[in-house]
Amino acid sequence: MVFEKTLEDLIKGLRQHRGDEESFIASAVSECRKEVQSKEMVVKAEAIAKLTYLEMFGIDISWASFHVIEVMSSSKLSLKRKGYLAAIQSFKSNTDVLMLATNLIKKDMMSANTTEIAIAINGLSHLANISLSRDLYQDVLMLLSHSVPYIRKRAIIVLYKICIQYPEALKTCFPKLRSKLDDPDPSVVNAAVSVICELARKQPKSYLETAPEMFHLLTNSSNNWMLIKLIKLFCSLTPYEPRLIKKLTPPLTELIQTSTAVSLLYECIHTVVSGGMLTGHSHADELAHLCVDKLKGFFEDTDQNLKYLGLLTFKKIAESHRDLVVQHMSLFLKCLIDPDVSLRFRALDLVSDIVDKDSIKSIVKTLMLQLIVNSDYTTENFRQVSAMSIIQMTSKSNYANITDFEWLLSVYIDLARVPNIAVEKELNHQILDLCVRVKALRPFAAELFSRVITEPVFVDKQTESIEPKSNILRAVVWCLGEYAEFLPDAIAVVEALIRPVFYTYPPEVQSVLLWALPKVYIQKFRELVNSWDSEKLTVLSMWAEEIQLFAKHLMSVHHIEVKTRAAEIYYIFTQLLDVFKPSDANATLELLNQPPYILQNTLPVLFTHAPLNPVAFKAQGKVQTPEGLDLNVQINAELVVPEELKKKDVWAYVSALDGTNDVSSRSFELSKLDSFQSSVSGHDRKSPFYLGNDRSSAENLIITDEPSKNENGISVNNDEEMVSQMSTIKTGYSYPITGPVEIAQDELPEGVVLSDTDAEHTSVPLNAKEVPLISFDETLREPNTDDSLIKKVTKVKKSKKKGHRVVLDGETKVKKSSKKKKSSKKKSTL
Amino acid sequence: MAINFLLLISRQGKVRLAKWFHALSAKERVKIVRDVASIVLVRKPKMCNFFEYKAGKIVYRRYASLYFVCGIDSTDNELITLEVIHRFVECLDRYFGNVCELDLIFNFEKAYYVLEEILLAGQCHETSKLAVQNLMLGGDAEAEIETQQHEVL
Repeated sequence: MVFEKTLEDLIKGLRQHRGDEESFIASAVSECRKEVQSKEMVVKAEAIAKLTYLEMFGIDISWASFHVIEVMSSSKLSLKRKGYLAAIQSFKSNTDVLMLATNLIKKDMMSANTTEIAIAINGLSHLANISLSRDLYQDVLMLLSHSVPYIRKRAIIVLYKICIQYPEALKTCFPKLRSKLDDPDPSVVNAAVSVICELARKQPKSYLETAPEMFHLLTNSSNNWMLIKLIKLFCSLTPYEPRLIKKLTPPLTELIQTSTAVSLLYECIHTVVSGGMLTGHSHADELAHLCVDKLKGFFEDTDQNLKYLGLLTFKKIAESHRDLVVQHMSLFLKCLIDPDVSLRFRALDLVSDIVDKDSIKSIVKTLMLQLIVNSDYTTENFRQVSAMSIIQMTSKSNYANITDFEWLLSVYIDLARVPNIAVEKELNHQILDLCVRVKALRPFAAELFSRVITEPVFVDKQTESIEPKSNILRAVVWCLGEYAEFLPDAIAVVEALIRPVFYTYPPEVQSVLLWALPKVYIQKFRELVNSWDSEKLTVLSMWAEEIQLFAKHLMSVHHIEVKTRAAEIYYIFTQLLDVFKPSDANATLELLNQPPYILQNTLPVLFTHAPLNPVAFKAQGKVQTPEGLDLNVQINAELVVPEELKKKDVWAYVSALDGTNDVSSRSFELSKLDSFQSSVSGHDRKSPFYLGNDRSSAENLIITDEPSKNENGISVNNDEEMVSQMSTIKTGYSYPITGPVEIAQDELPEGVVLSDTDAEHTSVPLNAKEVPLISFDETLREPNTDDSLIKKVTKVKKSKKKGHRVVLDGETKVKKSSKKKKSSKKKSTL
Repeated sequence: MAINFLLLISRQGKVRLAKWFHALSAKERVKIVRDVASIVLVRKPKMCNFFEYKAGKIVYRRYASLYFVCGIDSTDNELITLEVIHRFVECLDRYFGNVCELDLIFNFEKAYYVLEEILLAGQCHETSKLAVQNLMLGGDAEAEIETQQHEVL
């Protein structure tokens, strides 16, 4: 007698082998493999039970599916149950033995024992796929009239599953299902209601006819579970039947007012809100008031869930009854600082929707406090989201909510100071937006920004932040330059801007800086111009020198924009300094009397001539097209495409690039080509840079990897040889060889023709040659009528893809890349 | 309301019970278990019992060392799902008598049978604890009889 492990032993053993599970499991599985094949059903069932347990650990037991079916067919209920459980847990929709189960389930469903039927139904509810559903729905339908309500109830529910898998069954099943609504047993009715509710969610219109019966149940039932399902059902139906709303309002109102079960209350309110019952009818406002009152009660409860649901529902109500919701702003603000992150997210969501002029300050204040005070890393995402939402709320509908722009600007700057959030880009945009569009803000902005650039948090590079805080300086510095006229102390700003710390700044900031400097400088000049004397002159020339030095430093930055601007500033200020330090005594005297022309006129005109104003969104549309301009006329007249060119793939390639296939664009390409052509034919063919079909010169440019081989076949790979080769290549550059390069003929095998011999040029027509795709040479444009050559062309093209230059003559191909000019070995490779 | 799946996860992330009411591939199941477990196990006790996951919602509650996790659709009522979970736990408690995690480990089959009495195809169809208890005891009695018959043989 074999001692078999029971399920309990297995579980105990597994728990003991905590670190060593894999080997234990493997041995258990192999034991089970033997046991399932035993003739005794008990042993088999026990093995299957063990496998079911192991399946929870992720072991695949699909190999045992046939045995599972065997156990399922056992007459003993406890064993049958084990089999069914194993089947439920392990069978997938593609398990092949599922078909065998069909008859089994059918037989079990027809059994006299209700437990057996129940087991079968349960199994079916999990295993149902299309074929099973199709085969078994009739039997399930019959069970709907079974004498035991326990079975009837289950049959109804499994019918739902079947109809999902096999929708055609629904037509036959539905009438019977509907009749079950009048069943004497309440649980059966409940089941029927659930099923119809679920079906109605998918296709509400077809179930509208059940509404009267459902309504009757709604008003007469006191079973909360069923009521919830009924209310849910009506929620799906109301969009399709507006009259329902009127009818539903009284019972729902009553339920809301009297119900003690919170889940029922929530379901009612949810239906009222989502079912569109808050608008469009006479009692809507009353209903809304009622809902809001009850929801307020949710917030007084200590249960977090209720607060969460309250916030969700308020958001929905806010779409139609905003004022009611706004009254409870204080509740939402409290939720914004709740320790529970999901609550905060919901509150933020809600508050962003209902924000208005009065509440924005308090909301932003709460959020900012949180951001500044609490730099908790675990809620980093919330910080990012709340920062972004601050920006969004404040800029919503063109700053409709803002009355105090100065406050807003300071909020943005504060936001920029907050660590660990990445909102610089948006802030930049917002600041610029504000300053440009709100003229009255400019003086305040100028003053604020002149303080900001001296702050260490912005100017000293932060190494740990997501983006360096300095990015906001782009907007700040630009505004300083643009609105320099409002600066209280221009020189301080200039001083701040030319600090050495900016040498290592991001180039975007540097480039803005460089343009801002002259503007601020000019502003300083303007301040001093009225009382011009030598002292002022000295001051200005000193600062000019500083600026010039700064610009010089920045000229070495590896960024094209910064380099360009730095160079321009440098040269302008050099000019200025030249003017300030004239060699001539007369000029010096003049300088003391009045400021130099360059400073008074040129520079201001260059930098501060016209103010930059905001452009309206639709301004472009208002620009009139000038007389005589027709935007729809072709720029170039149509050209004729020569036939032979049309055949080449090249045009398909070109028009594919274009994205169009019509002839007009092609002709456009052609005309482009023609003009290029004409320029090319006039081109100096002898120029080293002309890579025409002049293959010899092209060949000279190829430098191969293989070591050079001299005529003796000994590979020479020393530097001298390389150098000499390089020099020949170089000389190849300086005077391109128009004729073929001489190669020792005696090394050629029979039939092989080298690509750079004369023979090729004359015997093989153009298309077989290895040429650039577009040929510019007139003489080579011969019509290609030979079919075989077309094939060779495609072959050429294909081999071209591999990167080798291949030429065809007859059947042999020669790899060009392996060849050298004079001393190369000729190989023939395929 | 339709429950899509029900999981019982221990504090170490081990799955003690898994009931899937929809056909999902093994990969998807594993992924869902992993994702959900990672979110649920880090949540603090004061936080609310639901969160959004993919297209639906997850409702969970912690009982001693086990997390009972349910996945529902986004239109379903979370509070009622919590009730269902609680009803399930109460039935288990009644059947096993002060149920603990070990009971569920060693008698996982019985736990599945209790679940089957309450939920079918994701629908809660039996809310009476008494009825469930009677059904389970009836099933146990039949199993006893059968074992005795087998031993006699």
